[in-house]
Amino acid sequence: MVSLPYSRKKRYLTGIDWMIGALDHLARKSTGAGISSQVVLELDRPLPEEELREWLEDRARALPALAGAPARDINLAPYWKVPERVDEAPIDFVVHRPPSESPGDVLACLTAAVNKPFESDSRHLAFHVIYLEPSDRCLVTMVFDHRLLDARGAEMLLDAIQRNDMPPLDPEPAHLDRWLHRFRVGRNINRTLAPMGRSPIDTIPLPADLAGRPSRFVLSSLDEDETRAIKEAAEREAGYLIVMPYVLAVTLQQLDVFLAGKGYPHGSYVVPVSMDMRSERKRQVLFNRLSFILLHVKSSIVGNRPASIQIIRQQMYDQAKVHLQRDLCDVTMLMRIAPVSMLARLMLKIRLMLGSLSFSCVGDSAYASDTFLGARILNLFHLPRVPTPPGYGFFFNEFNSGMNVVFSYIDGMLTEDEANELVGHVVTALLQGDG
Amino acid sequence: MGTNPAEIEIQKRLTEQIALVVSVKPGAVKPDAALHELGMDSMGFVEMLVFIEKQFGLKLIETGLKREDFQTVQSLAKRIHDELRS
Repeated sequence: MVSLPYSRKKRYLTGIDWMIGALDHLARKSTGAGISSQVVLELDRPLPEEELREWLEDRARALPALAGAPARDINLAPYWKVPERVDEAPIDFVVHRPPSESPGDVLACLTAAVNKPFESDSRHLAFHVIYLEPSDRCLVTMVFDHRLLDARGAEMLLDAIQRNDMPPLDPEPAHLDRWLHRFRVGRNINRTLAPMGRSPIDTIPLPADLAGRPSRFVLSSLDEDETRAIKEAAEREAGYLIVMPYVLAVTLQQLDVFLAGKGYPHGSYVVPVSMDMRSERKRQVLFNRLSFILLHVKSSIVGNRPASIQIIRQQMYDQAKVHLQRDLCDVTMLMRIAPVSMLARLMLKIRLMLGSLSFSCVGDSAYASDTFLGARILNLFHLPRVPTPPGYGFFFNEFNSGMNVVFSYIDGMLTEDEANELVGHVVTALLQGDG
Repeated sequence: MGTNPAEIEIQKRLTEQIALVVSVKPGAVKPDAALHELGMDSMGFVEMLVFIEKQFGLKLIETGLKREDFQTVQSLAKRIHDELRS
Protein backbone atom coordinates (compact mmCIF):
# COMPACT_ATOMS: atom_id res chain seq x y z
CA MET A 1 0.00 0.00 0.00
CA VAL A 2 1.30 3.44 -0.94
CA SER A 3 0.31 6.07 1.59
CA LEU A 4 1.25 9.70 1.20
CA PRO A 5 0.66 12.38 3.83
CA TYR A 6 -2.38 14.62 3.43
CA SER A 7 -1.71 17.95 1.81
CA ARG A 8 -3.83 21.06 1.64
CA LYS A 9 -2.79 21.30 -1.99
CA LYS A 10 -4.34 18.02 -3.06
CA ARG A 11 -7.56 16.17 -2.51
CA TYR A 12 -7.73 12.63 -3.84
CA LEU A 13 -10.64 11.91 -6.15
CA THR A 14 -12.97 9.00 -5.46
CA GLY A 15 -14.16 6.53 -8.08
CA ILE A 16 -17.47 8.39 -8.35
CA ASP A 17 -15.59 11.69 -8.90
CA TRP A 18 -13.61 9.95 -11.65
CA MET A 19 -16.79 8.58 -13.27
CA ILE A 20 -18.30 12.07 -13.27
CA GLY A 21 -15.04 13.23 -14.87
CA ALA A 22 -15.53 10.62 -17.62
CA LEU A 23 -19.12 11.79 -18.20
CA ASP A 24 -17.86 15.36 -18.36
CA HIS A 25 -15.25 14.29 -20.93
CA LEU A 26 -17.94 12.59 -23.04
CA ALA A 27 -20.11 15.71 -23.03
CA ARG A 28 -17.15 18.01 -23.84
CA LYS A 29 -16.07 15.80 -26.71
CA SER A 30 -19.52 15.55 -28.25
CA THR A 31 -21.17 18.93 -27.53
CA GLY A 32 -18.18 21.15 -26.72
CA ALA A 33 -19.24 21.81 -23.10
CA GLY A 34 -19.08 19.68 -19.96
CA ILE A 35 -21.84 18.52 -17.61
CA SER A 36 -22.09 21.72 -15.66
CA SER A 37 -25.28 22.38 -13.79
CA GLN A 38 -26.85 25.39 -12.17
CA VAL A 39 -28.74 26.03 -8.97
CA VAL A 40 -31.13 28.95 -9.25
CA LEU A 41 -32.38 31.18 -6.44
CA GLU A 42 -35.42 33.30 -7.25
CA LEU A 43 -35.33 36.31 -4.91
CA ASP A 44 -38.04 38.77 -3.90
CA ARG A 45 -35.87 41.82 -4.57
CA PRO A 46 -32.81 42.79 -6.58
CA LEU A 47 -29.37 42.58 -4.98
CA PRO A 48 -26.98 45.48 -5.68
CA GLU A 49 -24.71 44.32 -8.49
CA GLU A 50 -21.33 45.57 -7.26
CA GLU A 51 -21.87 44.55 -3.62
CA LEU A 52 -22.95 41.09 -4.72
CA ARG A 53 -19.94 40.72 -7.01
CA GLU A 54 -17.53 41.75 -4.23
CA TRP A 55 -19.16 39.43 -1.71
CA LEU A 56 -18.97 36.45 -4.05
CA GLU A 57 -15.39 37.19 -5.12
CA ASP A 58 -14.22 37.54 -1.51
CA ARG A 59 -15.83 34.24 -0.52
CA ALA A 60 -14.41 32.47 -3.59
CA ARG A 61 -10.87 33.65 -2.78
CA ALA A 62 -11.23 31.89 0.59
CA LEU A 63 -11.65 28.54 -1.16
CA PRO A 64 -8.62 27.90 -3.43
CA ALA A 65 -10.04 24.50 -4.46
CA LEU A 66 -12.37 26.47 -6.74
CA ALA A 67 -9.32 27.23 -8.90
CA GLY A 68 -8.05 23.63 -8.95
CA ALA A 69 -7.78 21.05 -11.69
CA PRO A 70 -7.49 17.24 -11.89
CA ALA A 71 -4.00 15.71 -11.83
CA ARG A 72 -2.38 12.33 -11.18
CA ASP A 73 -0.11 11.63 -8.22
CA ILE A 74 3.13 9.64 -8.22
CA ASN A 75 1.17 6.76 -6.67
CA LEU A 76 -1.11 6.97 -9.77
CA ALA A 77 -4.17 8.03 -7.76
CA PRO A 78 -5.98 10.97 -9.38
CA TYR A 79 -6.39 14.10 -7.28
CA TRP A 80 -7.67 17.65 -7.41
CA LYS A 81 -4.68 19.96 -7.48
CA VAL A 82 -5.34 23.01 -5.33
CA PRO A 83 -3.29 26.18 -5.86
CA GLU A 84 -1.38 27.54 -2.87
CA ARG A 85 -3.28 30.82 -3.01
CA VAL A 86 -5.55 32.66 -5.39
CA ASP A 87 -5.15 36.37 -5.99
CA GLU A 88 -7.84 36.73 -8.61
CA ALA A 89 -11.26 35.43 -7.57
CA PRO A 90 -11.77 32.12 -9.43
CA ILE A 91 -15.35 32.83 -10.52
CA ASP A 92 -17.08 34.25 -13.57
CA PHE A 93 -19.73 36.92 -12.90
CA VAL A 94 -22.31 37.82 -15.55
CA VAL A 95 -25.30 40.15 -15.39
CA HIS A 96 -28.42 39.68 -17.53
CA ARG A 97 -31.23 42.17 -18.12
CA PRO A 98 -33.84 40.31 -20.21
CA PRO A 99 -36.19 42.40 -22.41
CA SER A 100 -39.14 41.24 -20.31
CA GLU A 101 -39.81 39.05 -17.30
CA SER A 102 -41.87 36.56 -19.30
CA PRO A 103 -41.04 32.92 -18.46
CA GLY A 104 -39.62 32.54 -21.99
CA ASP A 105 -37.17 35.45 -21.62
CA VAL A 106 -36.07 34.37 -18.13
CA LEU A 107 -35.59 30.75 -19.24
CA ALA A 108 -33.55 32.01 -22.22
CA CYS A 109 -31.14 33.74 -19.78
CA LEU A 110 -30.88 30.63 -17.59
CA THR A 111 -30.30 28.46 -20.66
CA ALA A 112 -27.55 30.78 -21.88
CA ALA A 113 -25.96 30.76 -18.40
CA VAL A 114 -25.63 26.99 -18.02
CA ASN A 115 -24.48 26.49 -21.62
CA LYS A 116 -21.76 29.15 -21.42
CA PRO A 117 -18.35 27.44 -21.02
CA PHE A 118 -16.24 28.64 -18.08
CA GLU A 119 -13.68 31.32 -18.95
CA SER A 120 -10.70 29.00 -18.42
CA ASP A 121 -9.77 25.44 -17.41
CA SER A 122 -9.16 26.59 -13.84
CA ARG A 123 -12.65 28.09 -13.50
CA HIS A 124 -15.42 25.84 -12.19
CA LEU A 125 -17.96 28.28 -10.85
CA ALA A 126 -19.92 31.13 -12.46
CA PHE A 127 -22.56 33.42 -11.03
CA HIS A 128 -25.25 34.92 -13.24
CA VAL A 129 -27.63 37.56 -11.94
CA ILE A 130 -30.84 38.15 -13.86
CA TYR A 131 -32.58 41.42 -13.01
CA LEU A 132 -36.32 41.47 -13.62
CA GLU A 133 -38.28 44.64 -14.40
CA PRO A 134 -40.85 45.91 -13.52
CA SER A 135 -41.43 43.48 -10.64
CA ASP A 136 -38.10 44.50 -9.09
CA ARG A 137 -36.92 40.97 -8.38
CA CYS A 138 -33.84 39.02 -9.41
CA LEU A 139 -32.55 35.51 -9.89
CA VAL A 140 -29.09 34.54 -8.72
CA THR A 141 -27.79 31.42 -10.36
CA MET A 142 -24.62 29.51 -9.59
CA VAL A 143 -23.33 27.46 -12.52
CA PHE A 144 -20.99 24.75 -11.27
CA ASP A 145 -18.64 22.18 -12.73
CA HIS A 146 -20.04 18.79 -11.76
CA ARG A 147 -16.51 17.48 -11.23
CA LEU A 148 -16.20 19.80 -8.23
CA LEU A 149 -19.72 19.78 -6.76
CA ASP A 150 -22.81 17.63 -6.84
CA ALA A 151 -26.29 19.20 -6.69
CA ARG A 152 -26.70 18.98 -2.92
CA GLY A 153 -23.12 20.19 -2.41
CA ALA A 154 -23.89 23.19 -4.61
CA GLU A 155 -26.85 24.10 -2.38
CA MET A 156 -24.61 23.74 0.67
CA LEU A 157 -21.92 25.92 -0.90
CA LEU A 158 -24.44 28.68 -1.64
CA ASP A 159 -25.57 28.43 1.97
CA ALA A 160 -21.96 28.67 3.15
CA ILE A 161 -21.37 31.69 0.91
CA GLN A 162 -24.36 33.55 2.29
CA ARG A 163 -23.37 32.72 5.90
CA ASN A 164 -19.75 33.68 5.21
CA ASP A 165 -18.62 30.31 6.54
CA MET A 166 -16.70 28.66 3.71
CA PRO A 167 -16.30 24.88 4.02
CA PRO A 168 -12.89 23.32 4.66
CA LEU A 169 -11.34 21.06 2.03
CA ASP A 170 -11.85 17.82 3.94
CA PRO A 171 -9.15 15.23 3.26
CA GLU A 172 -9.82 12.07 1.28
CA PRO A 173 -7.42 9.10 1.39
CA ALA A 174 -5.96 7.74 -1.86
CA HIS A 175 -7.92 4.48 -1.43
CA LEU A 176 -5.07 2.35 -2.77
CA ASP A 177 -5.81 -0.55 -0.45
CA ARG A 178 -8.31 -3.45 -0.28
CA TRP A 179 -7.80 -4.43 -3.93
CA LEU A 180 -9.00 -8.00 -3.52
CA HIS A 181 -12.06 -6.87 -1.61
CA ARG A 182 -12.92 -4.39 -4.36
CA PHE A 183 -12.56 -7.06 -7.08
CA ARG A 184 -14.92 -9.32 -5.12
CA VAL A 185 -17.40 -6.48 -4.70
CA GLY A 186 -17.18 -5.85 -8.45
CA ARG A 187 -18.06 -9.47 -9.12
CA ASN A 188 -21.11 -9.23 -6.85
CA ILE A 189 -22.29 -6.03 -8.52
CA ASN A 190 -21.89 -7.68 -11.89
CA ARG A 191 -24.13 -10.52 -10.77
CA THR A 192 -26.78 -8.09 -9.50
CA LEU A 193 -26.80 -5.93 -12.60
CA ALA A 194 -26.09 -8.49 -15.33
CA PRO A 195 -29.79 -9.19 -16.09
CA MET A 196 -30.33 -5.49 -16.86
CA GLY A 197 -27.50 -5.54 -19.38
CA ARG A 198 -29.15 -8.32 -21.40
CA SER A 199 -32.11 -6.14 -22.43
CA PRO A 200 -31.84 -3.21 -24.84
CA ILE A 201 -31.63 0.22 -23.18
CA ASP A 202 -34.28 2.25 -24.97
CA THR A 203 -34.09 6.00 -25.08
CA ILE A 204 -34.77 9.10 -27.19
CA PRO A 205 -32.16 9.01 -29.98
CA LEU A 206 -29.49 11.72 -29.94
CA PRO A 207 -29.03 13.92 -33.04
CA ALA A 208 -26.27 12.67 -35.35
CA ASP A 209 -24.15 15.80 -34.95
CA LEU A 210 -23.95 17.00 -31.37
CA ALA A 211 -21.20 19.60 -31.83
CA GLY A 212 -22.17 22.94 -30.34
CA ARG A 213 -25.67 21.82 -29.40
CA PRO A 214 -26.85 23.45 -26.16
CA SER A 215 -29.04 21.92 -23.48
CA ARG A 216 -32.61 23.18 -23.44
CA PHE A 217 -35.06 23.15 -20.57
CA VAL A 218 -38.70 23.00 -19.60
CA LEU A 219 -39.48 24.17 -16.08
CA SER A 220 -42.81 23.62 -14.36
CA SER A 221 -43.13 24.94 -10.80
CA LEU A 222 -46.05 23.46 -8.90
CA ASP A 223 -47.71 25.16 -5.95
CA GLU A 224 -48.28 23.74 -2.48
CA ASP A 225 -51.74 22.31 -3.28
CA GLU A 226 -50.51 20.59 -6.45
CA THR A 227 -47.49 19.19 -4.62
CA ARG A 228 -49.71 17.87 -1.83
CA ALA A 229 -51.97 16.25 -4.44
CA ILE A 230 -48.95 14.45 -5.95
CA LYS A 231 -47.83 13.21 -2.55
CA GLU A 232 -51.32 11.98 -1.73
CA ALA A 233 -51.49 10.15 -5.06
CA ALA A 234 -48.04 8.64 -4.36
CA GLU A 235 -49.18 7.46 -0.95
CA ARG A 236 -52.37 5.95 -2.37
CA GLU A 237 -50.57 4.12 -5.16
CA ALA A 238 -47.15 3.33 -3.69
CA GLY A 239 -47.33 3.72 0.09
CA TYR A 240 -46.21 6.15 2.78
CA LEU A 241 -43.01 8.02 1.80
CA ILE A 242 -42.68 6.11 -1.48
CA VAL A 243 -42.73 9.26 -3.63
CA MET A 244 -39.75 8.63 -5.91
CA PRO A 245 -40.97 5.24 -7.27
CA TYR A 246 -44.36 6.80 -8.00
CA VAL A 247 -42.81 9.78 -9.82
CA LEU A 248 -40.49 7.50 -11.82
CA ALA A 249 -43.30 5.09 -12.75
CA VAL A 250 -45.44 7.99 -14.02
CA THR A 251 -42.50 9.50 -15.93
CA LEU A 252 -41.64 6.19 -17.62
CA GLN A 253 -45.29 5.63 -18.52
CA GLN A 254 -45.44 8.98 -20.33
CA LEU A 255 -42.01 8.53 -21.91
CA ASP A 256 -43.10 5.14 -23.26
CA VAL A 257 -46.16 6.72 -24.88
CA PHE A 258 -43.92 9.41 -26.41
CA LEU A 259 -41.39 6.89 -27.80
CA ALA A 260 -44.16 4.68 -29.20
CA GLY A 261 -45.79 7.71 -30.86
CA LYS A 262 -42.51 8.63 -32.54
CA GLY A 263 -41.93 5.06 -33.71
CA TYR A 264 -38.76 4.68 -31.62
CA PRO A 265 -37.87 1.34 -29.95
CA HIS A 266 -39.45 1.18 -26.51
CA GLY A 267 -38.97 -2.21 -24.94
CA SER A 268 -36.89 -1.69 -21.83
CA TYR A 269 -35.73 1.17 -19.63
CA VAL A 270 -32.73 1.37 -17.32
CA VAL A 271 -32.62 4.35 -14.98
CA PRO A 272 -29.62 5.22 -12.82
CA VAL A 273 -30.97 7.17 -9.84
CA SER A 274 -28.44 9.23 -7.91
CA MET A 275 -28.44 8.94 -4.12
CA ASP A 276 -26.84 11.23 -1.58
CA MET A 277 -24.14 9.41 0.40
CA ARG A 278 -23.31 12.12 2.94
CA SER A 279 -23.09 10.94 6.50
CA GLU A 280 -22.17 14.24 8.13
CA ARG A 281 -23.85 16.59 5.73
CA LYS A 282 -22.55 19.89 7.02
CA ARG A 283 -18.90 19.03 6.53
CA GLN A 284 -19.10 17.43 3.09
CA VAL A 285 -19.64 20.12 0.52
CA LEU A 286 -17.12 19.80 -2.31
CA PHE A 287 -16.88 16.93 -4.82
CA ASN A 288 -19.35 14.16 -5.56
CA ARG A 289 -20.83 12.54 -2.44
CA LEU A 290 -23.25 10.36 -4.29
CA SER A 291 -23.81 6.91 -5.62
CA PHE A 292 -26.44 5.23 -7.75
CA ILE A 293 -29.05 2.56 -7.79
CA LEU A 294 -30.08 1.14 -11.16
CA LEU A 295 -33.71 0.46 -11.87
CA HIS A 296 -34.96 -1.63 -14.77
CA VAL A 297 -38.54 -1.57 -16.05
CA LYS A 298 -39.78 -3.27 -19.20
CA SER A 299 -42.18 -1.54 -21.55
CA SER A 300 -44.68 -4.40 -21.12
CA ILE A 301 -44.91 -3.40 -17.43
CA VAL A 302 -44.69 0.38 -17.77
CA GLY A 303 -48.34 0.76 -18.81
CA ASN A 304 -49.47 -1.09 -15.69
CA ARG A 305 -48.61 1.45 -13.02
CA PRO A 306 -49.23 -0.65 -9.91
CA ALA A 307 -46.94 -3.35 -11.35
CA SER A 308 -44.35 -0.78 -12.38
CA ILE A 309 -44.31 0.80 -8.90
CA GLN A 310 -44.07 -2.62 -7.30
CA ILE A 311 -41.04 -3.54 -9.44
CA ILE A 312 -39.26 -0.23 -8.79
CA ARG A 313 -39.91 -0.49 -5.04
CA GLN A 314 -38.70 -4.08 -4.92
CA GLN A 315 -35.50 -3.28 -6.86
CA MET A 316 -34.74 -0.42 -4.48
CA TYR A 317 -35.22 -2.82 -1.58
CA ASP A 318 -33.10 -5.59 -3.10
CA GLN A 319 -30.27 -3.20 -3.96
CA ALA A 320 -30.37 -1.55 -0.52
CA LYS A 321 -30.22 -5.02 1.01
CA VAL A 322 -26.97 -5.90 -0.78
CA HIS A 323 -25.55 -2.36 -0.23
CA LEU A 324 -25.26 -1.71 -3.97
CA GLN A 325 -24.80 2.05 -3.47
CA ARG A 326 -21.92 1.60 -1.05
CA ASP A 327 -20.37 -1.15 -3.18
CA LEU A 328 -20.50 1.00 -6.31
CA CYS A 329 -18.50 3.67 -4.46
CA ASP A 330 -16.01 0.98 -3.52
CA VAL A 331 -15.61 -0.72 -6.88
CA THR A 332 -15.36 2.47 -8.93
CA MET A 333 -12.11 3.18 -7.06
CA LEU A 334 -10.57 0.52 -9.33
CA MET A 335 -11.62 2.44 -12.45
CA ARG A 336 -9.40 5.39 -11.55
CA ILE A 337 -6.42 3.69 -13.13
CA ALA A 338 -7.95 4.41 -16.56
CA PRO A 339 -7.66 7.91 -18.02
CA VAL A 340 -11.07 9.63 -18.23
CA SER A 341 -11.04 9.30 -22.04
CA MET A 342 -10.65 5.52 -21.76
CA LEU A 343 -13.25 5.23 -19.00
CA ALA A 344 -15.64 7.31 -21.11
CA ARG A 345 -15.22 4.87 -24.03
CA LEU A 346 -15.83 1.94 -21.68
CA MET A 347 -19.00 3.54 -20.30
CA LEU A 348 -20.25 4.14 -23.83
CA LYS A 349 -19.68 0.49 -24.63
CA ILE A 350 -21.34 -0.90 -21.50
CA ARG A 351 -24.06 1.79 -21.51
CA LEU A 352 -25.72 0.49 -18.32
CA MET A 353 -24.54 3.35 -16.08
CA LEU A 354 -25.64 5.93 -18.65
CA GLY A 355 -29.13 4.46 -18.81
CA SER A 356 -32.25 5.38 -20.78
CA LEU A 357 -32.54 8.78 -19.12
CA SER A 358 -31.14 10.80 -16.23
CA PHE A 359 -33.50 11.06 -13.28
CA SER A 360 -33.56 12.41 -9.77
CA CYS A 361 -36.34 13.10 -7.31
CA VAL A 362 -35.23 14.76 -4.09
CA GLY A 363 -37.07 16.24 -1.14
CA ASP A 364 -36.11 19.29 0.83
CA SER A 365 -33.15 21.39 -0.22
CA ALA A 366 -29.82 21.42 1.64
CA TYR A 367 -29.96 25.23 1.54
CA ALA A 368 -30.77 25.95 5.16
CA SER A 369 -31.87 29.60 5.17
CA ASP A 370 -35.02 31.34 3.89
CA THR A 371 -32.98 34.26 2.60
CA PHE A 372 -29.93 34.97 0.45
CA LEU A 373 -27.94 38.05 1.49
CA GLY A 374 -31.09 39.57 2.98
CA ALA A 375 -33.48 38.83 0.11
CA ARG A 376 -36.24 36.30 0.63
CA ILE A 377 -35.97 33.15 -1.51
CA LEU A 378 -39.16 32.50 -3.47
CA ASN A 379 -37.97 29.35 -5.19
CA LEU A 380 -34.89 27.17 -5.64
CA PHE A 381 -34.39 24.75 -8.52
CA HIS A 382 -31.70 23.11 -10.64
CA LEU A 383 -31.17 23.18 -14.40
CA PRO A 384 -28.52 20.55 -15.20
CA ARG A 385 -26.78 19.74 -18.47
CA VAL A 386 -27.23 16.00 -18.88
CA PRO A 387 -24.48 13.52 -19.89
CA THR A 388 -24.59 12.48 -23.56
CA PRO A 389 -25.87 9.82 -23.91
CA PRO A 390 -28.64 9.80 -22.77
CA GLY A 391 -28.74 13.60 -23.34
CA TYR A 392 -31.98 14.22 -21.48
CA GLY A 393 -33.48 13.77 -18.05
CA PHE A 394 -36.23 14.59 -15.59
CA PHE A 395 -35.39 16.28 -12.28
CA PHE A 396 -37.81 16.82 -9.42
CA ASN A 397 -37.00 18.87 -6.33
CA GLU A 398 -38.97 20.51 -3.53
CA PHE A 399 -38.63 23.94 -2.05
CA ASN A 400 -41.05 25.74 0.30
CA SER A 401 -43.56 22.89 -0.04
CA GLY A 402 -43.67 23.30 -3.83
CA MET A 403 -42.31 20.83 -6.39
CA ASN A 404 -40.25 21.87 -9.43
CA VAL A 405 -40.30 19.65 -12.48
CA VAL A 406 -37.35 20.21 -14.81
CA PHE A 407 -36.86 18.53 -18.16
CA SER A 408 -33.39 18.96 -19.66
CA TYR A 409 -32.59 17.85 -23.22
CA ILE A 410 -30.02 18.37 -25.91
CA ASP A 411 -31.20 20.69 -28.64
CA GLY A 412 -32.63 18.69 -31.52
CA MET A 413 -33.69 15.59 -29.58
CA LEU A 414 -37.24 16.91 -29.37
CA THR A 415 -38.93 20.03 -30.69
CA GLU A 416 -39.84 22.69 -28.12
CA ASP A 417 -43.52 21.78 -28.52
CA GLU A 418 -42.80 18.07 -27.98
CA ALA A 419 -40.76 18.82 -24.84
CA ASN A 420 -43.51 21.06 -23.41
CA GLU A 421 -46.13 18.46 -24.25
CA LEU A 422 -44.16 15.62 -22.64
CA VAL A 423 -43.68 17.57 -19.41
CA GLY A 424 -47.37 18.58 -19.48
CA HIS A 425 -48.38 14.92 -19.74
CA VAL A 426 -46.06 13.93 -16.87
CA VAL A 427 -47.39 16.68 -14.59
CA THR A 428 -51.02 15.92 -15.42
CA ALA A 429 -50.53 12.20 -14.78
CA LEU A 430 -48.69 12.90 -11.50
CA LEU A 431 -51.58 15.05 -10.30
CA GLN A 432 -54.30 12.64 -11.41
CA GLY A 433 -52.85 9.48 -9.90
CA ASP A 434 -54.49 6.08 -10.05
CA GLY A 435 -53.16 5.32 -13.53
CA MET B 1 -44.09 5.61 24.43
CA GLY B 2 -45.26 2.02 24.95
CA THR B 3 -44.78 0.52 28.43
CA ASN B 4 -43.90 -2.95 27.25
CA PRO B 5 -40.10 -3.49 27.64
CA ALA B 6 -39.89 -5.33 24.31
CA GLU B 7 -41.66 -2.48 22.51
CA ILE B 8 -39.40 0.07 24.22
CA GLU B 9 -36.34 -1.84 23.05
CA ILE B 10 -37.67 -1.95 19.48
CA GLN B 11 -38.31 1.78 19.65
CA LYS B 12 -34.76 2.41 20.85
CA ARG B 13 -33.24 0.46 17.98
CA LEU B 14 -35.50 2.16 15.43
CA THR B 15 -34.60 5.59 16.79
CA GLU B 16 -30.89 4.89 16.38
CA GLN B 17 -31.35 3.69 12.80
CA ILE B 18 -33.62 6.58 11.80
CA ALA B 19 -31.06 9.03 13.21
CA LEU B 20 -28.41 7.34 11.08
CA VAL B 21 -30.52 7.46 7.91
CA VAL B 22 -31.53 11.12 8.24
CA SER B 23 -28.11 12.21 9.62
CA VAL B 24 -29.26 13.63 12.95
CA LYS B 25 -28.46 12.80 16.56
CA PRO B 26 -30.73 10.11 18.09
CA GLY B 27 -32.00 12.69 20.58
CA ALA B 28 -33.49 14.67 17.70
CA VAL B 29 -35.78 11.76 16.74
CA LYS B 30 -38.86 12.19 18.92
CA PRO B 31 -41.13 9.13 19.32
CA ASP B 32 -44.15 10.99 17.98
CA ALA B 33 -42.41 12.91 15.15
CA ALA B 34 -43.52 12.03 11.62
CA LEU B 35 -40.77 10.44 9.53
CA HIS B 36 -41.40 12.75 6.57
CA GLU B 37 -40.89 15.76 8.85
CA LEU B 38 -37.49 14.40 9.85
CA GLY B 39 -36.40 14.58 6.20
CA MET B 40 -36.75 10.87 5.44
CA ASP B 41 -37.00 10.27 1.68
CA SER B 42 -38.02 7.21 -0.35
CA MET B 43 -34.57 5.59 -0.33
CA GLY B 44 -34.10 6.30 3.37
CA PHE B 45 -37.46 4.70 4.09
CA VAL B 46 -36.56 1.64 2.01
CA GLU B 47 -33.27 1.39 3.95
CA MET B 48 -35.34 1.42 7.16
CA LEU B 49 -37.44 -1.46 5.84
CA VAL B 50 -34.26 -3.42 5.06
CA PHE B 51 -33.02 -2.72 8.59
CA ILE B 52 -36.32 -4.01 10.01
CA GLU B 53 -36.00 -7.23 8.01
CA LYS B 54 -32.41 -7.76 9.17
CA GLN B 55 -33.13 -6.89 12.81
CA PHE B 56 -36.57 -8.38 13.34
CA GLY B 57 -37.05 -10.77 10.40
CA LEU B 58 -40.12 -8.90 9.12
CA LYS B 59 -40.57 -8.15 5.40
CA LEU B 60 -42.75 -5.06 5.74
CA ILE B 61 -42.00 -4.03 2.11
CA GLU B 62 -44.58 -6.65 1.13
CA THR B 63 -47.33 -4.95 3.15
CA GLY B 64 -49.45 -1.96 2.14
CA LEU B 65 -47.03 0.56 3.78
CA LYS B 66 -49.95 2.47 5.31
CA ARG B 67 -49.15 5.81 6.90
CA GLU B 68 -50.78 4.92 10.24
CA ASP B 69 -48.33 2.03 10.74
CA PHE B 70 -45.18 3.84 9.69
CA GLN B 71 -45.56 7.53 10.40
CA THR B 72 -43.78 7.71 13.77
CA VAL B 73 -41.19 5.70 15.64
CA GLN B 74 -43.92 4.90 18.16
CA SER B 75 -46.41 3.54 15.62
CA LEU B 76 -43.68 1.61 13.79
CA ALA B 77 -42.42 0.02 17.02
CA LYS B 78 -45.97 -1.00 17.91
CA ARG B 79 -46.50 -2.49 14.44
CA ILE B 80 -43.28 -4.51 14.69
CA HIS B 81 -44.11 -5.62 18.23
CA ASP B 82 -47.59 -6.75 17.16
CA GLU B 83 -46.22 -8.60 14.12
CA LEU B 84 -43.63 -10.41 16.25
CA ARG B 85 -46.29 -11.50 18.75
CA SER B 86 -48.76 -12.76 16.14
